[in-house]
Amino acid sequence: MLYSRTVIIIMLSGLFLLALLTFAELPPIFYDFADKTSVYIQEGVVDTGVTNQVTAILFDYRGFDTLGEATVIFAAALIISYFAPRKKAPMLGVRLGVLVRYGVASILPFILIFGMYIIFFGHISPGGGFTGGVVLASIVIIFDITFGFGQGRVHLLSRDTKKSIESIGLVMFILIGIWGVFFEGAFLANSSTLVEKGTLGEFVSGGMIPILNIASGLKVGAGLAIIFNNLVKEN
Amino acid sequence: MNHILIWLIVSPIFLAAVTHFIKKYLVNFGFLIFLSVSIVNTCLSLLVFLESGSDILVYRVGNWSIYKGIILVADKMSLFFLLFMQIIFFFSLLFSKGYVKNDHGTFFSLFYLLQAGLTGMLLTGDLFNLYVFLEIVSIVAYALVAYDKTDHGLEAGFKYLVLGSVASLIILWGIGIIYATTGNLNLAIVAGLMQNLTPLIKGGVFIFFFIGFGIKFALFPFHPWLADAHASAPSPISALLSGVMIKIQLYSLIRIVTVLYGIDYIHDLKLNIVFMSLGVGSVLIGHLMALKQTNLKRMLAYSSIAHIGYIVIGLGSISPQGVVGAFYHMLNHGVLKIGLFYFAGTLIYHLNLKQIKDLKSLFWRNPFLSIMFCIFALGMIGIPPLNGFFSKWLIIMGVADAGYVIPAVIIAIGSFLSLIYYLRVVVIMFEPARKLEERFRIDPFFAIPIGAMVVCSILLVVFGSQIHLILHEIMLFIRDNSTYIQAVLYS
Amino acid sequence: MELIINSTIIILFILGLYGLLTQRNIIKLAICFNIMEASILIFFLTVGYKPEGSYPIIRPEVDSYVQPLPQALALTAIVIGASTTALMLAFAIKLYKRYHTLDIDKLRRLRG
Repeated sequence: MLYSRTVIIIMLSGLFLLALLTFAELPPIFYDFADKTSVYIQEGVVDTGVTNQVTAILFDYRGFDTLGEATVIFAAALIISYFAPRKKAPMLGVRLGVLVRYGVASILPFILIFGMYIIFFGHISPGGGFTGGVVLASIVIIFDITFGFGQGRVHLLSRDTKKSIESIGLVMFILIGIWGVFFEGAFLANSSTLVEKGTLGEFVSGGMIPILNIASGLKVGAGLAIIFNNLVKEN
Repeated sequence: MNHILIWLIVSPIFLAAVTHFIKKYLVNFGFLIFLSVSIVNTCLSLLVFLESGSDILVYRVGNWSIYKGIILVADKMSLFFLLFMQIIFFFSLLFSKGYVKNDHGTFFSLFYLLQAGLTGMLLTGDLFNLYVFLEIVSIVAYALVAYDKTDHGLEAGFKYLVLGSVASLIILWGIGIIYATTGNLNLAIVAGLMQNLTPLIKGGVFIFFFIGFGIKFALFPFHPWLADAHASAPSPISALLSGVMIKIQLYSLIRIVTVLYGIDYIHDLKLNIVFMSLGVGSVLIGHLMALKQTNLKRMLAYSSIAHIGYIVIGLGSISPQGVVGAFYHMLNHGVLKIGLFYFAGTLIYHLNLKQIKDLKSLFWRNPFLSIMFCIFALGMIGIPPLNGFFSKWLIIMGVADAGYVIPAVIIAIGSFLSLIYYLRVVVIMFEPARKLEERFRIDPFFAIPIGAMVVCSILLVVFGSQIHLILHEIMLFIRDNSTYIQAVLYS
Repeated sequence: MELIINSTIIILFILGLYGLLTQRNIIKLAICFNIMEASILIFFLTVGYKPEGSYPIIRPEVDSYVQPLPQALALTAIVIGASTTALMLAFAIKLYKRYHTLDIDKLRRLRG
């Protein structure tokens, strides 16, 4: 412990009072920002050409934040694969039954399709690159848990492939941003030179947003798989 | 022209991402790529700094209006720090090339992510974007502290990780409350809406930001992690963390406080007294702890805490001289402390010397290194012809002019304490050798950065008046936040 | 209703911070960090919420939506928090290998 317990309790009660007082003066929870920030709701569809406004904010209005966020996952995956112990750790040692193994094997393709659906339709329905990437990463995780650690690396994706996919996702994100510099005059500007703007609510719409969705899906999926594989360590 | 700003943030991320593919060629050919990109980036930041003059550059990412998207803002202050940072990173790249033995790929990826994050923190004009870049910097820093995988490194890294992530959450709270009350995240727009907030919320958010960033740059009650972390990290990283990273985190706090609250707010509530008392605490605890250290890097790390204290005292005085002196001291301390950590790193690499007593009669074995150490140490103490003296003098004069006697006296006492512990090392170093020990040569990868830091510290004195003019301009700029707000709103 | 949500947020935060400062087990520290993270995520979700609002996918037949920006911010904060947690767990594994204990009081080689 860095400080003694009395100091902690005094500090925390001070913080508690401060938070309580501050919260009492915050605007009410269900406060309507209508006049201030509903600009995204009112103009988002015209601006970006996608109906899902969370995706519009993540990949267009504040796409630069998303680049930073993808960089954080990249850094975390890199760090954890560096710190991972070199030896194989003893695991539970429980071998799962035939029923589980066949059941999981038959479900996996559907999970793959589901994840890809979430990524590809992220701009017109709930979802997006991050959610879809997590679903894709869960394939590797489920595979490893069911068939034993290390099997995923042999039968699905090798360690090097996962790292390459992750790097490619990040590089793709940056290249799309640079594309915007050349064709629209600003980094990450939504450009329709490569992809048609399309009609609102259809699959082909939103210019670069679906492609950014795919890039971040690859990035997040591979990144989380690397993190998982290194935390349970299989080599 | 404006695209240079985004290039400076994105190119390091890009390099970090492709490092995986060029890992095999990293030892010679790949390193040339790194080197050339670093040189290009340094030149570009010099170009932007010279070309921008006194106007403020605003870059709208994604071409959105400032009410919808993220903006990058480059003014005199951020560009000056950016130039300083790029030069330091260039020499650290050279030093790291010599120092790091295993897994070059991971190391240089993390190195470039650190650079990207720090550049982003300097340039961004959006609160949440600042948080994202702060997290990139922090996560990379936690890992780099433990990069050697020694017991001490892992333990220090974990301590830093826990405290640092709590600090990030506290900062995120401040940002969240600002968003909940003003409905916007852009610094300039939020600054215009600040007068609508009740005093309590305004103060609460201030405390959140102050505590959060205070932990990040190791102000007095929150300092315990710094000595462990900076002493256990690999030496090029200790140099970067001590010399650049904590200063840029302090810069972020200055930027937020001056733009959102303005100097008047601090003046009216007498908050500068709080700053100065915490600064005095930092100075005393840093120097007193440094006195009893036996490990060289640990002593240097405690001295960093003390010098952050000097800077905070200078900023807290709010007098023109004090603030200029504080900014000048950031540069001086940065250059000198980086030189000292390079010195410690060279000894660890070549002779595996970590304790102060092991430095015995080093002068007879390598005169170059010892003389360099003396220059850095005398600069840190503040002996007149060297750069440390001028900034300390400015801070003392500024603080005394503003009518605060005690902090001025404490700074003088602190200098005396640092004289004791640096002199102890120098005396050990110049002790005559009993038997003639053989000399050792040092790699050019080590000698060039150390020499460069000495040259930098001399340049900081020679061009003192020009730098003083620039810093004076920066001081006037941060005193009056309307310049920043107008420039962003009417860009 | 508002009082309940507000006090949930504050209590979660304080609870997490208390645990972080008093617990000794490294895994528990990671859990406490996540509790604190949860409090701020709940706060973000309450900011732009409207009782009658629908999810922010624009459709012609709906005219009231919740705010999309806090949700996007919350998503970013979740990802960053997950990365930090993963890093904490990696450190936990590494420290356990070295010291054969998860008690932070026992791994005190750095003093003074």
